[in-house]
Amino acid sequence: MKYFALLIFIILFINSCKKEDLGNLNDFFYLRNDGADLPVYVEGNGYSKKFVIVIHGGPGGDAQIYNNFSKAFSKTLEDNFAMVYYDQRGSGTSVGKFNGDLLNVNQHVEDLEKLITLLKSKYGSSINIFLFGHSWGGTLGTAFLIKGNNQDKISGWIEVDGAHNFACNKEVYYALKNISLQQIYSSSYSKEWSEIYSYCNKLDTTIAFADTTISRLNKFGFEVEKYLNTDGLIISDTPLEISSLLNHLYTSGYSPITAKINLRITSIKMFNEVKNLNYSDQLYKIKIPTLFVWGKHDYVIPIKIGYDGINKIGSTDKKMLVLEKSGHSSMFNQMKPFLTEVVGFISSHN
Amino acid sequence: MKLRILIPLLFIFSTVLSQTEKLTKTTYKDTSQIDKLSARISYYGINTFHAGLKIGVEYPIKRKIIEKPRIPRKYGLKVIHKEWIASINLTGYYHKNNHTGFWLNPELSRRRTGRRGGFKEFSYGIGFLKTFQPKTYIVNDDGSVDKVFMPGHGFFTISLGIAYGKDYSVKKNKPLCLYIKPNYYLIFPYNTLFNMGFGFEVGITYKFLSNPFLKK
Repeated sequence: MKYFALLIFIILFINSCKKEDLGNLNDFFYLRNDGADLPVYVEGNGYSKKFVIVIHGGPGGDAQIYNNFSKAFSKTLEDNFAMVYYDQRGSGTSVGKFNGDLLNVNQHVEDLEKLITLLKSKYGSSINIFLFGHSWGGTLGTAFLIKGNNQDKISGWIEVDGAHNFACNKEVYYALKNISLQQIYSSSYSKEWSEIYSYCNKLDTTIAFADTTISRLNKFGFEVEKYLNTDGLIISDTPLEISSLLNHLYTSGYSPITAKINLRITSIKMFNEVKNLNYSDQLYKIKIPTLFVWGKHDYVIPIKIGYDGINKIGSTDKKMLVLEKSGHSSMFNQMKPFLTEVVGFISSHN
Repeated sequence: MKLRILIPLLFIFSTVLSQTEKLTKTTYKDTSQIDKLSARISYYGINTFHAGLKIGVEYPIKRKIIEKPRIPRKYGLKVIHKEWIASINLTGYYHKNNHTGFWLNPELSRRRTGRRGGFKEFSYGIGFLKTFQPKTYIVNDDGSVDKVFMPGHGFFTISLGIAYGKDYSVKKNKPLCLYIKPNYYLIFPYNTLFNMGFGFEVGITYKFLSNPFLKK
């Protein structure tokens, strides 16, 4: 028994002396805030002192989509920077006492503020933090940056097909109508395009769209990516690796069904708040270096919103990259030019 | 003359009839070994590869033996055992980059054991899972950071499994069973509603000759 206790003590001692490999960070911990435990994965090059927080889409999505699910994407970023993947409350593998009333933008912003404080506490106050928001992550990132002095903590903002203007359903309508008219006669999905066109044609644009119409347009925005992919207007320059998919299934703590349920419930709970969110008029407050990346064929958040947003950003150091053959997830459609631009942007800012 | 034909015909007919009667399905309760208690130990992998260990005891609460003709009937009768088995199981596992879990899972299983000892089993379980999370931090309003002591959560579980195995006590009189058992489980309340997972179990069951806990 004496030797056993000694052995345990030695193992614990060696373990506690183990130096953390900053060059190849692989940390996992939870942030507990207001009843929710948010999982945080910090992976990649800690020596760079550049920590990129990925704000996932949704609301109700999952951060591992940008990590284990697509290692070709995350590996390039992790070779250069420390990537921070966290699941928002009501999303992915976040746990705790679920409270639907706390699913609101202010609470999400508070969670993000606390995450940044935690990262600075863990890895040193000298680290540079960048935000990378995709889709709904664009809403949350913008809400965070325009609040108080929050942007003082951030070195750069990357918005990818982001929804800083969530209430852009009229733009979605016009974009869908135009592309469906263009594709009806040339696409192999002419029947589907006709349906979208006739649906759009019936809508009265002089009045505010009903919730069901907004949901339908959003659904069309995702559906058309399949047709555009077949027609060659959207590509995937880096095919999904089976090993990435298996890795995702292996490491993920939840099932695809749970992911769907989270997405559904969280987006329903937040719908009333976010459907009218429009931060366009407050974008002038953002003074930090900003990069917008948009897919030309994004019909969920049309490119017009991107142009409008980048024009209104208050920073003088701003740039917009349009990827000609991409949709709403431009980082996975044209991964190579996307990564070149993003790595260049982060590398050139401190 | 008529009688000479009729009597052999009647004889043949009655023989066939009696033979058929012998080969009809018969079911009866088996109380002879009802007090058998078994213990099992198995590898239990969340998503198959996140390793864990499962231990449990099982007890047949209802058992019947069915004799029915084999096809073709010339092979005679086959004996099938059908049992309802109650079991209680404790599983401990480590899900990499997620949590460590301890799962108490009582199950009710319906097992069908064939004449050679091969068995198939459907299990239905309701249980409780206690998870232990890795490092968990709280950021206070003043910006200070606290580490949570023994962070984790409790969940209720529902599980459904299908086991395939071989009972060596049927033909070889060895008190052992080997089995594999894929199963699905649901834990709740988890996040917005529930979470589902897959576990794969490979195990061995040891059958005690009699229940040592029962004093006769």
